[in-house]
Amino acid sequence: MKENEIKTRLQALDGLTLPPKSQMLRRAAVYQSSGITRLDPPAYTLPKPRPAFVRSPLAVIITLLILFGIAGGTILGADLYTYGKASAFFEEYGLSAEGLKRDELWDVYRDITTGKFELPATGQMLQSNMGITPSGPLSAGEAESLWEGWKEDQPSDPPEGILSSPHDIVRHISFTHTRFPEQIANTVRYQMRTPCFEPNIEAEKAALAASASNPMLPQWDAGKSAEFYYSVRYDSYTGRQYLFKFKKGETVIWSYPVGDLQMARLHVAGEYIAVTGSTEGAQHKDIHVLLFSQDGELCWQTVLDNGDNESVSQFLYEDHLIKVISKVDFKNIGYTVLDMEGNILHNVVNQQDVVPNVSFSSAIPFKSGYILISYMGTDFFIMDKNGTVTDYCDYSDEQANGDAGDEDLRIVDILPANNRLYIRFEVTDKREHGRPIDPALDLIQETDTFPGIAFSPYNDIIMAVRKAYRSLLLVCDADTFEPIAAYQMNDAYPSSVDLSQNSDGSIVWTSGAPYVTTYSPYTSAYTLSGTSYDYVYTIRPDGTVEDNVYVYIGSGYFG
Amino acid sequence: MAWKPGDSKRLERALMALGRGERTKDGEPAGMSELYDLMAQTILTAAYVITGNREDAEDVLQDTLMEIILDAHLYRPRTNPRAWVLTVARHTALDAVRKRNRRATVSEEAAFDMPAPSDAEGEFAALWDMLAVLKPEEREIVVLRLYHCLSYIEIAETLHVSVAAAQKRYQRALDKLREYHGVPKSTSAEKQKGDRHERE
Repeated sequence: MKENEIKTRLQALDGLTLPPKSQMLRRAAVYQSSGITRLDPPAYTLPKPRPAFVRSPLAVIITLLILFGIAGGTILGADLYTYGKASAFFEEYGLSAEGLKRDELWDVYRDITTGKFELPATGQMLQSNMGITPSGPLSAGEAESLWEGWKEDQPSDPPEGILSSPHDIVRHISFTHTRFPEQIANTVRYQMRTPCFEPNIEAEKAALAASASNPMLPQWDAGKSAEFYYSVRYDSYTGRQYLFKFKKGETVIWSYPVGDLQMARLHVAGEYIAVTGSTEGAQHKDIHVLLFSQDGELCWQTVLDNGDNESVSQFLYEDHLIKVISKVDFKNIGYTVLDMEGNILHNVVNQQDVVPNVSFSSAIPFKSGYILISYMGTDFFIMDKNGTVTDYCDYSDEQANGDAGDEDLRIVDILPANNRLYIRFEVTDKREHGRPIDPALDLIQETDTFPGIAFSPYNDIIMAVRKAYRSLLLVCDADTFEPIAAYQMNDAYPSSVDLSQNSDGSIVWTSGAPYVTTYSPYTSAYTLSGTSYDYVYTIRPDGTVEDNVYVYIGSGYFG
Repeated sequence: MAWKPGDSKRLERALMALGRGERTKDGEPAGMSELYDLMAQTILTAAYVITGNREDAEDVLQDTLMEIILDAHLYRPRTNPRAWVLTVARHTALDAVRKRNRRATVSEEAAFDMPAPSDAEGEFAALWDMLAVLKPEEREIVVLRLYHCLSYIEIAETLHVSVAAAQKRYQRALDKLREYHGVPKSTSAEKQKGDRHERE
């Protein structure tokens, strides 16, 4: 494909039309309001260019002494020395010396390290290493440019912040694995297809229309698209909850009262919206599932009744089925499958006594079933495709002698891949009281004057927040769940750490960091925002860590 | 995308005005309109080739404008304003891709009120047929070079790499396109002819 053809195809980008200018500028202008004190621009400096290879004066002196010092038998020694030094340089930078004669090796080495780039052999060697067929001598500038490009692509030492010492770290992780016997599957105790509550729709809507409260508190938003979004909101005037469909700009399309539901949550189920919540009856706290069409029609209501006290832990929509994982009677794990007509097809209640109070932060698809990550814990359950809980694993920070460690760990994410479980923990120092973010708050308190708006990826407040957190990646066997290897990353701002898998199977583990600290005198609050990637580690399926670590520093230039 | 003489100075003045927090008579941030006129299309296309869809690209454009307002005071005069703005846009777009590709524990993303692929998408079919084989960072360097006509120096400043590295990445991207579309890799003479012309 010729460049002209590429250019022709790229002209299709002319068809990208801009959004309305006034709309874009109006929204952006919100970020520049009057009354906020600005700092004088700090003296940021440009990032330092990659240093050219630094000559070692000592090496030069030694070379001179050897070459011009003792005569006779030193000449052989000198040759060995120069050849060895040049070879070491080639090896250090991954350069092949193929095609160079022995004496040329030293000459090319000196040509590069002195920054002259005058020898034709230097340019030829660099072109050869870069896979470019030499077609003629290069100028000094061209050769130097190639050398800079070669250095740019060389793997660098992993920076501070990642430790790969599986044995040391794994030793501090105590692993327990509990295998559950077959669980009892409850039959459906109670199912009601008629409305579980019957709001007076017209009266409710009239009350909402007359509502004097503004704005309503958003609770759960879902189904966001370019134009519409849904939200369950509480209206303090009517004292009721409503499901709203909004057009962008908070224009109400329709609303439906869901006032009797407690802990109402919103979920997307294919082309429908589901609302779940609990109602408290005299004897039961049951889960109610309501399914709405995009036009605001209530399709059906169904009550789940797997126990006396049940609440939604995870809501899943897969293969045109709704699957609800629930907390039942505080310690049992419920699993209910409904079709898109609201019929309960299957339900299981797993009774267990290992964990006193179950709550799950997420359900990760795993071997046709799920991994249920405990909320704020270091443990998880394994649920098979039928909803039966089969295993329980806990990775605690217990020392070899049984004492608790000095760090708090919690699982935030699990990625099943490469027949492994990549378990990502958030790690903080254990504190007698307070939170990991307290040092940053102390720093703010110590500041006599509020600095206004500060922008820097490395200002004291941001660094204090980042240093409070570490990320631990534990790699475990996907069948036995036993730890195999571990990696730790420091300065891992928790909400920006991510784990994903490349198409080649390697695992990408990133740590972002905020780079903007904004202070609002109106709310007297600091906001950390913006994200820059600080570290991106790629872990190959064989467990080795790629040496190329890309460091992006926010936007603009920072000293 | 033609960058006319004087546009760099206009853009720099706009960034400096934003950085000083100046306002127009209407109370609007001074420099915003100029910035939009000069760079909005460039930001949008750069974001589009990284994110791969129009909606995300528009969000990136919005976010980039907001980030520029916040960061404008960090712009250093007499450097390259276009590269500076593109750097902001680039990182904002990469952020958007990262967030979108974050693995979802629950599949809550459905085609909810999203428009079905329309005829408008069809006009990009040939473009994406070409670009799909490239990684986002390869796509962006091809677009920066061949669509936005940035010099290697400007590309290097935008991507925070050396000029040689920018040249090499661009060449690799072209080789990949040629290989995928059945054309042999360029020879050294073709590469050096283009590179030498740029460096002069």
